[in-house]
Amino acid sequence: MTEVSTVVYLATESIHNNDIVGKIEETGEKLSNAIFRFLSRNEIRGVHLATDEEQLQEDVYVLKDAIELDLRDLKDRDRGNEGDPTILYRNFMKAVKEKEEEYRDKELSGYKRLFCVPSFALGLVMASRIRRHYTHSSWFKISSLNQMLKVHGAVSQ
Amino acid sequence: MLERMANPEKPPLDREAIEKIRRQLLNPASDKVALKGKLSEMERAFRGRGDVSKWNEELLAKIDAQFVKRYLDDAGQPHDHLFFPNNPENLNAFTQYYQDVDHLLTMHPDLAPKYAREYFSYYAIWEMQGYAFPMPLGTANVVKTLDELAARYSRGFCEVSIPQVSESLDLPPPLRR
Repeated sequence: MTEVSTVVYLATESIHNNDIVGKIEETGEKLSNAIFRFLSRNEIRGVHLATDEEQLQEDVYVLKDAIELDLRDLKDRDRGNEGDPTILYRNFMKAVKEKEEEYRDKELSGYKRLFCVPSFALGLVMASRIRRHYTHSSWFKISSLNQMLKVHGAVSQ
Repeated sequence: MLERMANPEKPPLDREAIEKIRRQLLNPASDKVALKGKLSEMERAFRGRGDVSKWNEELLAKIDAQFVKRYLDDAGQPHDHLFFPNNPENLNAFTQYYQDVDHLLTMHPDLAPKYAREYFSYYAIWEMQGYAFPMPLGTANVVKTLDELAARYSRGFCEVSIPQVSESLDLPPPLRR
């Protein structure tokens, strides 16, 4: 049994145990975030699978975790620097690359397109750092974001 | 822009000084070069950025509502003067929007980054930002409206390089509005 499945097993078996959140958090920030997200997914009722919006939110939150790490490590002299994001946001760029690869061969082409443009994904993730304001807006859905990319996503400097 | 307004660095000018310069710049007879010179330190400070997550979503929703109130009609469609240069109605709408947002920042200092009001005053001097017209803050409905307009007038967003072309072909410089 892997570390993740052990904790998930504990969580499901001890759902009334108030210590379970603490136990999950003890596994470290990265793993505990993954576990909480896994637990919040509906994996049981086939008729209520995740909507496109829920999928998008989850993907954005994964990228947000990466950029929070980058921002934490960013030195003061780099803060506000509009330089190369591949240097400033290494963890984010790695995560967005992984997302692009995850969707490369899938039918969900809208996601693939989104993560093929890291600068656009960076904007989305930065916007998601303000709680709810953008992520709960009417345009924060895969179809609208793809339309945005289609209309004005190819402007060079 | 919300990131810049969240800059934790104390601005070199206080809000009153920035506001005084902003009002003087509105006077056509003012010495604009000298006044803009007084803002040079602010320009440097405004390049810094802060933690955008310091913004409270309830305050942003209120700011967004002011955009809707000043720039959209009852059907939610943008007024014609939105994002339009040299238009008195657009300038008036922005002045009202600026006052509304400044009032919100004054009333809810705990919901905004520490120096948001000062940096917003500076941002409101839109000529200093290199804009052709005043831009409301990029809240959710502004993004939505801008996207709708960009989709509707997509040809208006074509990238052009006329100056370089005219130089290489020895043509006269392009006409500017």
